[in-house]
Amino acid sequence: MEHNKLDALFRNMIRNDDTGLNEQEIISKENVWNQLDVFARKGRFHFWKVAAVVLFLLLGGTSWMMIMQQEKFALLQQDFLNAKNALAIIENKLSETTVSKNNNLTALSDKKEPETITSTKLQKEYIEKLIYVHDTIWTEKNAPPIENIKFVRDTIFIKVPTTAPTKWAKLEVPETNMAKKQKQPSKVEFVFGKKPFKKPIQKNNFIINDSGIVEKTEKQSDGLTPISIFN
Amino acid sequence: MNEKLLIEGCSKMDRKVQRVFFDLYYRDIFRLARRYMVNFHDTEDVVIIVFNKALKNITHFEYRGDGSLKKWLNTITINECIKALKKVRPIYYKEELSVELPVKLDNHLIDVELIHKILEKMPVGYRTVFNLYAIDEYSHSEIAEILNVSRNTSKSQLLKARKYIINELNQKKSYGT
Repeated sequence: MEHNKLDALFRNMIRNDDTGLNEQEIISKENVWNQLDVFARKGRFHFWKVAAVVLFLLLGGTSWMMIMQQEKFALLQQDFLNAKNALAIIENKLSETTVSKNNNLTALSDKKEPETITSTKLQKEYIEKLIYVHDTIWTEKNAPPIENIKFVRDTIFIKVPTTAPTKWAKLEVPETNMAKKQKQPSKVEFVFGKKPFKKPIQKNNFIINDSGIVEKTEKQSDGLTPISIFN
Repeated sequence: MNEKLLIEGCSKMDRKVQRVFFDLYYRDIFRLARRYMVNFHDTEDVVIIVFNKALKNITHFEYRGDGSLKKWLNTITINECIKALKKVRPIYYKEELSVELPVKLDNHLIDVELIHKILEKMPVGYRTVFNLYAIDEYSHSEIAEILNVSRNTSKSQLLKARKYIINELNQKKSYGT
Protein backbone atom coordinates (compact mmCIF):
# COMPACT_ATOMS: atom_id res chain seq x y z
CA MET A 1 0.00 0.00 0.00
CA GLU A 2 1.35 3.39 -0.90
CA HIS A 3 1.84 5.92 1.73
CA ASN A 4 -0.65 8.23 0.23
CA LYS A 5 -3.25 5.53 0.30
CA LEU A 6 -2.57 4.79 3.93
CA ASP A 7 -2.92 8.45 4.74
CA ALA A 8 -6.12 8.70 2.71
CA LEU A 9 -7.53 5.60 4.39
CA PHE A 10 -6.94 6.96 7.83
CA ARG A 11 -8.17 10.39 6.89
CA ASN A 12 -11.40 9.18 5.36
CA MET A 13 -12.16 6.81 8.16
CA ILE A 14 -11.68 9.49 10.78
CA ARG A 15 -13.61 12.16 8.91
CA ASN A 16 -16.47 9.85 8.09
CA ASP A 17 -16.73 8.64 11.62
CA ASP A 18 -20.29 9.42 12.65
CA THR A 19 -20.42 7.36 15.80
CA GLY A 20 -22.05 9.11 18.73
CA LEU A 21 -20.43 10.13 21.97
CA ASN A 22 -19.59 7.32 24.29
CA GLU A 23 -20.45 7.41 27.95
CA GLN A 24 -17.17 8.96 28.96
CA GLU A 25 -17.49 11.65 26.31
CA ILE A 26 -21.02 12.53 27.42
CA ILE A 27 -19.89 13.03 31.02
CA SER A 28 -16.95 15.07 29.84
CA LYS A 29 -19.22 17.22 27.67
CA GLU A 30 -21.31 18.46 30.60
CA ASN A 31 -18.17 19.01 32.63
CA VAL A 32 -16.67 21.12 29.87
CA TRP A 33 -19.88 23.16 29.42
CA ASN A 34 -20.00 24.01 33.12
CA GLN A 35 -16.43 25.23 33.04
CA LEU A 36 -16.88 27.63 30.19
CA ASP A 37 -16.73 31.26 31.33
CA VAL A 38 -18.04 33.05 28.30
CA PHE A 39 -21.53 33.73 29.54
CA ALA A 40 -20.93 37.23 30.85
CA ARG A 41 -22.02 39.86 28.45
CA LYS A 42 -19.13 41.53 26.77
CA GLY A 43 -18.89 45.23 26.58
CA ARG A 44 -21.61 45.82 29.10
CA PHE A 45 -20.90 48.42 31.63
CA HIS A 46 -22.01 47.25 35.02
CA PHE A 47 -22.90 50.56 36.46
CA TRP A 48 -24.12 49.20 39.75
CA LYS A 49 -20.87 47.29 40.28
CA VAL A 50 -18.82 50.41 39.66
CA ALA A 51 -21.11 52.42 41.94
CA ALA A 52 -20.81 49.77 44.66
CA VAL A 53 -17.02 49.78 44.40
CA VAL A 54 -16.86 53.57 44.51
CA LEU A 55 -19.22 53.70 47.47
CA PHE A 56 -17.22 51.04 49.25
CA LEU A 57 -14.01 52.96 48.65
CA LEU A 58 -15.59 56.19 49.87
CA LEU A 59 -16.96 54.57 53.00
CA GLY A 60 -13.71 52.78 53.60
CA GLY A 61 -11.74 55.94 53.11
CA THR A 62 -14.02 57.96 55.37
CA SER A 63 -13.90 55.32 58.08
CA TRP A 64 -10.14 55.20 57.84
CA MET A 65 -9.93 58.99 58.10
CA MET A 66 -12.26 58.97 61.10
CA ILE A 67 -10.17 56.37 62.86
CA MET A 68 -7.00 58.28 62.15
CA GLN A 69 -8.50 61.56 63.33
CA GLN A 70 -10.11 60.07 66.43
CA GLU A 71 -6.85 59.95 68.29
CA LYS A 72 -6.01 63.46 67.27
CA PHE A 73 -9.43 64.64 68.39
CA ALA A 74 -9.01 62.97 71.77
CA LEU A 75 -5.69 64.75 72.28
CA LEU A 76 -7.19 68.08 71.27
CA GLN A 77 -10.07 67.52 73.60
CA GLN A 78 -7.67 66.81 76.44
CA ASP A 79 -5.70 69.96 75.66
CA PHE A 80 -8.90 71.94 75.62
CA LEU A 81 -9.96 70.60 79.01
CA ASN A 82 -6.53 71.32 80.45
CA ALA A 83 -6.66 74.86 79.13
CA LYS A 84 -10.14 75.30 80.52
CA ASN A 85 -9.05 74.11 83.95
CA ALA A 86 -6.02 76.35 83.89
CA LEU A 87 -8.21 79.30 82.95
CA ALA A 88 -10.58 78.53 85.80
CA ILE A 89 -7.67 78.39 88.24
CA ILE A 90 -6.33 81.69 87.00
CA GLU A 91 -9.79 83.24 87.22
CA ASN A 92 -10.13 82.11 90.80
CA LYS A 93 -6.72 83.50 91.65
CA LEU A 94 -7.54 86.79 90.06
CA SER A 95 -10.84 87.05 91.87
CA GLU A 96 -9.12 86.25 95.15
CA THR A 97 -6.51 88.88 94.41
CA THR A 98 -9.24 91.37 93.58
CA VAL A 99 -11.06 90.63 96.83
CA SER A 100 -7.85 90.91 98.77
CA LYS A 101 -6.92 94.19 97.12
CA ASN A 102 -10.37 95.58 97.73
CA ASN A 103 -10.12 94.63 101.35
CA ASN A 104 -6.75 96.31 101.59
CA LEU A 105 -8.12 99.45 100.05
CA THR A 106 -11.05 99.40 102.41
CA ALA A 107 -8.68 99.00 105.32
CA LEU A 108 -6.56 101.83 104.09
CA SER A 109 -9.48 104.14 103.64
CA ASP A 110 -10.67 103.33 107.08
CA LYS A 111 -7.33 104.04 108.48
CA LYS A 112 -7.40 107.71 109.31
CA GLU A 113 -5.37 107.82 112.39
CA PRO A 114 -2.16 109.57 111.67
CA GLU A 115 0.99 108.06 112.79
CA THR A 116 2.98 109.93 115.24
CA ILE A 117 6.34 110.77 113.96
CA THR A 118 8.74 110.95 116.74
CA SER A 119 12.15 112.15 116.23
CA THR A 120 14.26 114.70 117.94
CA LYS A 121 16.09 115.64 114.81
CA LEU A 122 14.21 118.52 113.47
CA GLN A 123 14.94 120.91 110.82
CA LYS A 124 15.20 124.33 112.28
CA GLU A 125 12.91 125.85 109.70
CA TYR A 126 9.99 123.85 110.73
CA ILE A 127 10.16 124.47 114.36
CA GLU A 128 8.63 127.88 114.12
CA LYS A 129 6.04 127.06 111.62
CA LEU A 130 2.77 125.46 111.74
CA ILE A 131 2.05 122.99 109.08
CA TYR A 132 -1.34 121.55 108.76
CA VAL A 133 -1.67 118.14 107.54
CA HIS A 134 -4.95 117.48 105.98
CA ASP A 135 -6.75 114.38 106.80
CA THR A 136 -7.17 113.73 103.20
CA ILE A 137 -6.52 110.19 102.18
CA TRP A 138 -5.62 109.52 98.62
CA THR A 139 -6.79 106.07 97.69
CA GLU A 140 -5.98 106.52 94.07
CA LYS A 141 -2.51 106.57 92.69
CA ASN A 142 -3.11 109.68 90.72
CA ALA A 143 -4.39 112.08 93.23
CA PRO A 144 -6.22 115.06 91.91
CA PRO A 145 -3.93 118.02 91.67
CA ILE A 146 -4.56 120.43 94.49
CA GLU A 147 -2.74 123.61 94.63
CA ASN A 148 -3.25 125.93 97.42
CA ILE A 149 -1.63 129.24 97.62
CA LYS A 150 -1.56 130.84 100.95
CA PHE A 151 -0.19 134.01 102.08
CA VAL A 152 1.24 133.82 105.49
CA ARG A 153 2.68 137.19 106.03
CA ASP A 154 4.94 137.37 103.06
CA THR A 155 5.56 133.76 102.83
CA ILE A 156 3.88 131.94 100.03
CA PHE A 157 3.39 128.30 100.29
CA ILE A 158 2.34 126.48 97.19
CA LYS A 159 1.08 123.02 97.47
CA VAL A 160 1.73 120.76 94.55
CA PRO A 161 0.25 117.30 94.02
CA THR A 162 2.23 114.52 95.45
CA THR A 163 1.72 110.86 96.09
CA ALA A 164 -0.57 109.93 98.90
CA PRO A 165 1.27 109.97 102.12
CA THR A 166 1.80 106.63 103.62
CA LYS A 167 2.31 108.00 107.02
CA TRP A 168 0.62 110.73 108.76
CA ALA A 169 2.91 113.04 110.55
CA LYS A 170 2.13 114.48 113.85
CA LEU A 171 3.87 117.39 115.21
CA GLU A 172 4.76 116.89 118.84
CA VAL A 173 6.23 119.54 120.96
CA PRO A 174 9.17 118.34 123.05
CA GLU A 175 9.09 118.74 126.77
CA THR A 176 11.96 121.17 126.63
CA ASN A 177 9.60 123.69 125.20
CA MET A 178 11.51 124.67 122.26
CA ALA A 179 8.96 127.11 121.03
CA LYS A 180 10.31 130.58 120.50
CA LYS A 181 8.99 133.84 119.52
CA GLN A 182 7.90 133.95 116.03
CA LYS A 183 10.09 136.03 113.89
CA GLN A 184 9.46 137.75 110.72
CA PRO A 185 10.45 135.55 107.84
CA SER A 186 13.31 137.02 105.99
CA LYS A 187 12.42 135.56 102.61
CA VAL A 188 9.68 134.01 100.56
CA GLU A 189 9.80 130.32 100.78
CA PHE A 190 8.34 128.02 98.28
CA VAL A 191 7.73 124.72 99.84
CA PHE A 192 7.24 121.98 97.33
CA GLY A 193 5.76 118.71 98.30
CA LYS A 194 4.94 119.97 101.69
CA LYS A 195 1.63 120.23 103.28
CA PRO A 196 0.02 123.58 103.71
CA PHE A 197 0.42 124.99 107.14
CA LYS A 198 -1.24 127.54 109.29
CA LYS A 199 0.13 130.65 110.75
CA PRO A 200 0.65 130.19 114.42
CA ILE A 201 -1.49 132.51 116.46
CA GLN A 202 -0.14 131.75 119.80
CA LYS A 203 2.56 129.84 121.32
CA ASN A 204 2.12 126.27 121.03
CA ASN A 205 3.95 123.25 121.97
CA PHE A 206 5.11 121.37 118.94
CA ILE A 207 7.17 118.39 118.44
CA ILE A 208 8.71 118.07 115.07
CA ASN A 209 10.07 114.81 114.14
CA ASP A 210 12.45 113.76 111.49
CA SER A 211 10.04 113.98 108.70
CA GLY A 212 9.78 117.69 109.16
CA ILE A 213 6.09 117.50 108.92
CA VAL A 214 4.25 118.96 111.79
CA GLU A 215 0.72 118.78 112.91
CA LYS A 216 -1.29 121.21 114.78
CA THR A 217 -2.28 120.08 118.21
CA GLU A 218 -5.75 120.26 119.50
CA LYS A 219 -5.04 123.46 121.41
CA GLN A 220 -4.36 125.30 118.27
CA SER A 221 -7.15 127.32 116.95
CA ASP A 222 -7.73 127.31 113.30
CA GLY A 223 -6.37 130.29 111.61
CA LEU A 224 -6.13 130.25 107.92
CA THR A 225 -7.94 127.59 106.01
CA PRO A 226 -6.55 126.07 102.93
CA ILE A 227 -7.82 127.54 99.78
CA SER A 228 -7.82 125.35 96.81
CA ILE A 229 -7.28 127.16 93.58
CA PHE A 230 -7.77 124.07 91.47
CA ASN A 231 -11.03 122.28 92.17
CA MET B 1 -28.98 25.89 12.48
CA ASN B 2 -27.36 28.04 9.89
CA GLU B 3 -23.72 28.88 10.59
CA LYS B 4 -24.39 32.56 10.12
CA LEU B 5 -27.18 32.53 12.65
CA LEU B 6 -24.97 30.65 15.02
CA ILE B 7 -22.24 33.24 14.68
CA GLU B 8 -24.71 36.05 15.16
CA GLY B 9 -26.30 34.51 18.23
CA CYS B 10 -22.96 33.72 19.83
CA SER B 11 -21.76 37.27 19.18
CA LYS B 12 -24.76 38.56 21.10
CA MET B 13 -23.85 36.22 23.96
CA ASP B 14 -27.14 34.39 23.63
CA ARG B 15 -26.74 31.49 25.98
CA LYS B 16 -29.13 29.22 24.13
CA VAL B 17 -27.34 29.75 20.82
CA GLN B 18 -24.02 29.19 22.54
CA ARG B 19 -25.33 25.88 23.81
CA VAL B 20 -26.42 24.87 20.31
CA PHE B 21 -23.00 25.86 18.99
CA PHE B 22 -21.36 23.79 21.73
CA ASP B 23 -23.50 20.73 21.10
CA LEU B 24 -22.91 20.95 17.37
CA TYR B 25 -19.12 21.06 17.43
CA TYR B 26 -18.20 19.37 20.70
CA ARG B 27 -17.80 15.85 19.32
CA ASP B 28 -15.55 16.79 16.41
CA ILE B 29 -13.36 19.08 18.50
CA PHE B 30 -13.10 16.56 21.29
CA ARG B 31 -12.08 13.77 18.94
CA LEU B 32 -9.65 16.00 17.09
CA ALA B 33 -8.02 17.00 20.37
CA ARG B 34 -8.03 13.38 21.52
CA ARG B 35 -5.95 12.36 18.48
CA TYR B 36 -3.22 14.77 19.57
CA MET B 37 -3.43 14.68 23.34
CA VAL B 38 -4.38 11.02 23.89
CA ASN B 39 -4.78 11.56 27.62
CA PHE B 40 -8.47 12.07 28.44
CA HIS B 41 -8.04 14.87 30.99
CA ASP B 42 -5.55 16.75 28.84
CA THR B 43 -8.05 16.49 26.00
CA GLU B 44 -10.77 17.95 28.22
CA ASP B 45 -8.56 20.88 29.20
CA VAL B 46 -7.79 21.65 25.57
CA VAL B 47 -11.47 21.50 24.61
CA ILE B 48 -12.36 23.97 27.37
CA ILE B 49 -9.70 26.37 26.14
CA VAL B 50 -10.82 25.98 22.53
CA PHE B 51 -14.48 26.73 23.25
CA ASN B 52 -13.63 29.65 25.53
CA LYS B 53 -11.47 31.17 22.83
CA ALA B 54 -13.94 30.48 20.07
CA LEU B 55 -16.92 31.97 21.91
CA LYS B 56 -15.00 35.02 23.05
CA ASN B 57 -13.55 35.77 19.63
CA ILE B 58 -16.46 34.76 17.44
CA THR B 59 -17.33 38.44 16.95
CA HIS B 60 -14.07 38.84 15.02
CA PHE B 61 -14.63 35.76 12.87
CA GLU B 62 -15.14 36.43 9.19
CA TYR B 63 -17.62 34.05 7.70
CA ARG B 64 -16.46 32.75 4.33
CA GLY B 65 -19.02 30.21 3.40
CA ASP B 66 -20.05 26.78 4.62
CA GLY B 67 -17.35 24.91 6.46
CA SER B 68 -15.32 28.00 7.27
CA LEU B 69 -16.50 28.01 10.87
CA LYS B 70 -15.55 24.37 11.34
CA LYS B 71 -12.17 24.93 9.74
CA TRP B 72 -11.61 27.89 12.05
CA LEU B 73 -12.45 25.78 15.07
CA ASN B 74 -10.16 22.97 13.87
CA THR B 75 -7.28 25.43 13.49
CA ILE B 76 -7.79 26.71 17.03
CA THR B 77 -7.94 23.16 18.34
CA ILE B 78 -4.75 22.05 16.61
CA ASN B 79 -2.87 25.12 17.79
CA GLU B 80 -3.99 24.61 21.36
CA CYS B 81 -3.05 20.93 21.21
CA ILE B 82 0.47 21.72 19.99
CA LYS B 83 0.82 24.35 22.71
CA ALA B 84 -0.35 21.93 25.35
CA LEU B 85 1.97 19.19 24.10
CA LYS B 86 4.96 21.52 24.22
CA LYS B 87 4.00 22.59 27.69
CA VAL B 88 3.87 19.03 28.99
CA ARG B 89 7.26 18.10 27.62
CA PRO B 90 9.31 19.20 24.66
CA ILE B 91 8.96 17.03 21.65
CA TYR B 92 12.29 15.87 20.24
CA TYR B 93 12.40 14.93 16.59
CA LYS B 94 15.29 12.94 15.30
CA GLU B 95 16.37 14.21 11.96
CA GLU B 96 17.00 11.38 9.57
CA LEU B 97 17.37 10.85 5.88
CA SER B 98 14.04 10.98 4.17
CA VAL B 99 14.20 7.58 2.64
CA GLU B 100 11.04 6.05 1.36
CA LEU B 101 10.75 2.69 2.91
CA PRO B 102 8.63 0.05 1.25
CA VAL B 103 5.57 -0.80 3.29
CA LYS B 104 3.40 -3.75 3.08
CA LEU B 105 0.09 -3.88 4.69
CA ASP B 106 -1.85 -7.01 4.61
CA ASN B 107 -5.45 -6.74 3.78
CA HIS B 108 -7.66 -6.74 6.81
CA LEU B 109 -10.44 -4.73 8.19
CA ILE B 110 -9.50 -1.47 9.79
CA ASP B 111 -12.00 0.37 11.86
CA VAL B 112 -11.94 3.80 13.46
CA GLU B 113 -11.53 2.43 16.91
CA LEU B 114 -8.42 0.57 15.87
CA ILE B 115 -7.02 3.73 14.30
CA HIS B 116 -7.59 5.62 17.50
CA LYS B 117 -5.95 2.88 19.50
CA ILE B 118 -2.91 2.83 17.24
CA LEU B 119 -2.60 6.59 17.41
CA GLU B 120 -2.81 6.52 21.20
CA LYS B 121 0.06 4.10 21.39
CA MET B 122 2.21 5.93 18.87
CA PRO B 123 5.08 8.13 20.16
CA VAL B 124 4.04 11.76 20.45
CA GLY B 125 6.40 13.02 17.73
CA TYR B 126 5.15 10.54 15.16
CA ARG B 127 1.59 11.05 16.15
CA THR B 128 1.75 14.84 15.91
CA VAL B 129 3.29 14.86 12.46
CA PHE B 130 1.02 12.08 11.19
CA ASN B 131 -2.08 13.87 12.44
CA LEU B 132 -0.97 17.16 10.91
CA TYR B 133 0.01 15.74 7.57
CA ALA B 134 -2.16 12.70 6.96
CA ILE B 135 -5.39 13.64 8.73
CA ASP B 136 -5.42 17.43 8.80
CA GLU B 137 -3.58 17.87 5.51
CA TYR B 138 -0.88 20.33 6.49
CA SER B 139 2.17 20.56 4.28
CA HIS B 140 5.63 19.74 5.50
CA SER B 141 6.53 23.43 5.37
CA GLU B 142 3.57 24.32 7.54
CA ILE B 143 4.36 21.47 9.91
CA ALA B 144 7.96 22.61 10.11
CA GLU B 145 6.77 26.11 10.99
CA ILE B 146 4.27 24.95 13.58
CA LEU B 147 6.63 22.53 15.28
CA ASN B 148 9.72 24.64 14.71
CA VAL B 149 11.57 21.87 12.97
CA SER B 150 13.01 21.36 9.53
CA ARG B 151 11.10 19.93 6.61
CA ASN B 152 13.26 16.86 6.55
CA THR B 153 12.46 16.22 10.18
CA SER B 154 8.80 16.45 9.39
CA LYS B 155 9.18 13.99 6.53
CA SER B 156 11.17 11.50 8.51
CA GLN B 157 8.73 11.61 11.40
CA LEU B 158 5.90 10.93 9.00
CA LEU B 159 7.66 7.92 7.51
CA LYS B 160 8.29 6.50 10.91
CA ALA B 161 4.68 7.05 11.86
CA ARG B 162 3.49 5.17 8.82
CA LYS B 163 5.87 2.33 9.47
CA TYR B 164 4.67 2.17 13.02
CA ILE B 165 1.04 2.02 11.94
CA ILE B 166 1.67 -0.74 9.46
CA ASN B 167 3.61 -2.78 11.95
CA GLU B 168 0.84 -2.38 14.44
CA LEU B 169 -1.79 -3.39 11.95
CA ASN B 170 0.18 -6.42 10.85
CA GLN B 171 0.79 -7.37 14.44
CA LYS B 172 -2.86 -7.20 15.22
CA LYS B 173 -3.68 -9.37 12.29
CA SER B 174 -1.10 -11.93 13.20
CA TYR B 175 -2.44 -12.10 16.78
CA GLY B 176 -5.99 -12.14 15.55
CA THR B 177 -7.06 -8.85 17.27
